[in-house]
Amino acid sequence: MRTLLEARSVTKVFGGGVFERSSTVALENFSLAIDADRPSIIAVVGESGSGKTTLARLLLGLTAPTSGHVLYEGQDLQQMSRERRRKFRRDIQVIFQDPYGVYNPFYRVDHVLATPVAKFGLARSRAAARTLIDEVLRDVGLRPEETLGRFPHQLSGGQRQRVMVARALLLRPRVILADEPVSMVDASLRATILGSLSAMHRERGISIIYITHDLATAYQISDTIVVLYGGAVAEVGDVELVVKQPQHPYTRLLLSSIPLATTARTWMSEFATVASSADTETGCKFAARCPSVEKVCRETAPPLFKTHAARAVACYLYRDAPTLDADAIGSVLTASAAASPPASQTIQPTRSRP
Amino acid sequence: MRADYLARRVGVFVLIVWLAATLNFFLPRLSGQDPVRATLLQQASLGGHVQMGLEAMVKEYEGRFGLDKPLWRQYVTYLGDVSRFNFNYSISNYPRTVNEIIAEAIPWTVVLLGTTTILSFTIGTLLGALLAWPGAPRWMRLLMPPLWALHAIPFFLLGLILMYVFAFRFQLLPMFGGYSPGAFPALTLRFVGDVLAHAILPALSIVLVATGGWALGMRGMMVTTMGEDYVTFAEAKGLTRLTIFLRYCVRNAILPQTTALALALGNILSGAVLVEVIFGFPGVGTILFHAIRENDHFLIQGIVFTVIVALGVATLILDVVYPLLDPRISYRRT
Repeated sequence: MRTLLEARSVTKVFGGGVFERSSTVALENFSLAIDADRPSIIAVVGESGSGKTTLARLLLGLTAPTSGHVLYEGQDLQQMSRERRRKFRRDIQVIFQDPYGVYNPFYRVDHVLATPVAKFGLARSRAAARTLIDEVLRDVGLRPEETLGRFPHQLSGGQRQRVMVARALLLRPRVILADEPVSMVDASLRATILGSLSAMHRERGISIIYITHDLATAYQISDTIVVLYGGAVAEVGDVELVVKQPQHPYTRLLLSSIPLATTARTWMSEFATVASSADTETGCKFAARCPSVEKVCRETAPPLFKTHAARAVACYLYRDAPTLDADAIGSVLTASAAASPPASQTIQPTRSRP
Repeated sequence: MRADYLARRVGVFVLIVWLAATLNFFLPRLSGQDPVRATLLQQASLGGHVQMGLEAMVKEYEGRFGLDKPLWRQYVTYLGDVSRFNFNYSISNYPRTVNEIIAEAIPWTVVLLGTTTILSFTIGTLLGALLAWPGAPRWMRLLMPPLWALHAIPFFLLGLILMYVFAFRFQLLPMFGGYSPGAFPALTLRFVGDVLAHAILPALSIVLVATGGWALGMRGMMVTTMGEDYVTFAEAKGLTRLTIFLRYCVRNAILPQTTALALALGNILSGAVLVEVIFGFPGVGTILFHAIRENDHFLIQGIVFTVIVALGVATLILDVVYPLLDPRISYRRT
């Protein structure tokens, strides 16, 4: 397997300087790999504080890891030459959560689209550039004549976010990193934006890393899923397996926290409590909230147990299964990616792809 | 920009000037002193004359200045005069007119304060931007404490210290005045050099203090701006550090600074009265100081009115120009 973007045993610790008493481990021994030949959609799910945004920043090379490496085509992001970095910046595009904050208020929205065209020489003439921009704007459901020439504050949040998606499209990247791209837009636009994303994946073979706290949308568009808790992987594997039959207690909690439009189940009836301050230092991060906690959980953190060819769970409940090295998460992800197409085809009726 | 907005804005400007002019008319008269009588008495006692005919003289002069008329008549005349920028004679410097005196002082103040304000704005803003920028050289961090300290010292106190060190102790620079006592104002190299030498200390005391203020303000805004998402996004887009610094951080952080600059420029005329007084600089501040001491109503009115108009014009210009600086602001009615 040729990896495109890879995180190899990445740990990021914040604080712990001379003047700070405590340090925060935002991400611990995290690994992830995207296959260059087989584009996929990977969802990274977790509650706030689970290390999602840190992961995004690390994958973009905006933050240097405390230990471990983030590699693009086998090359460490922190030691890239200017030319390589330029290519990396084009190949990996990002869509951030807040469509209000990502625009420099001084530029018209045209700037955000025209600059990459000019910088990366995507069009030969002004007219060709304009055609290109019009085309991507239509692709995301915007009317160019209503969008171009405006300042960001004159557009709605949904319009702005769609301009961001259009921008990512324009550059024909190989990976799009979407950090909570729909959590600040309303439900109807959510479908449009997620639809554009999965269309990009289907039609242009762009891999997508979809970072979210929302299991429902993750299930909608992704092939594989990584569940983060407290900076560590709780469960990873094929999205059908993980969502349909969650194994880690935290994944089960997440699933039960989704409010449903039904009276058959009382929402929040289960163990949805916030972690107490007595979080264990060495043991499993979830021990304090876990209903099936054991003594060993508080003492040593569980390794990943490979319960299925396409799934691994960090929980002692599955200690009979063979352990999996954190570096080898890639093997689970690709296995599930291989298993995914037939699986999703068989269950197609219940799973509405936008 | 809509014409009705501009018209409204000019209307507000006129209203403010009228209110200020009215206050300006009544406040000195509330002091209850009779400036004409006081001046004459002073002169009489200097000359050793007896007070014979003093009352007659007071009457005569009051008639000439229009002070014998009822207050409302004086006010109406005053408004008429003021609208034509005519402030009559100076009481303490009779027969010179207020306009003459102000016209003589304004260039001194405008040049001194204008230069120092723009200089300290430029240096301070640049310094503040770099102080917040992680890519700036490390030694720049060392500038912070002295800037804080200087910013906390009042202009005039620093002026006194500078005067003591450079003019009194080491006698490197002249201590007092706008030019050497014997020099005759002319556009010669020598005279210009003389003026510059006299201006160094007052200018320095203003620049040193003001730079710290501009730098601290800019630094605060930069820190806020650098935390914005669009800066992170700019980084992720792969823009160069210079572009991010200038177009994304500085461009956004400088807005409040330009507002402050416009107000500071409008405030030039009365901005550094104490510095001018300490250094005996022949500017507007010094004459205002003397006018207040000698209860010269007309001169005070003239200066204060000029200051108000200058400030009003600066605010007006700022309001009109602001949409060009910040696209988020428009005066279209929504």
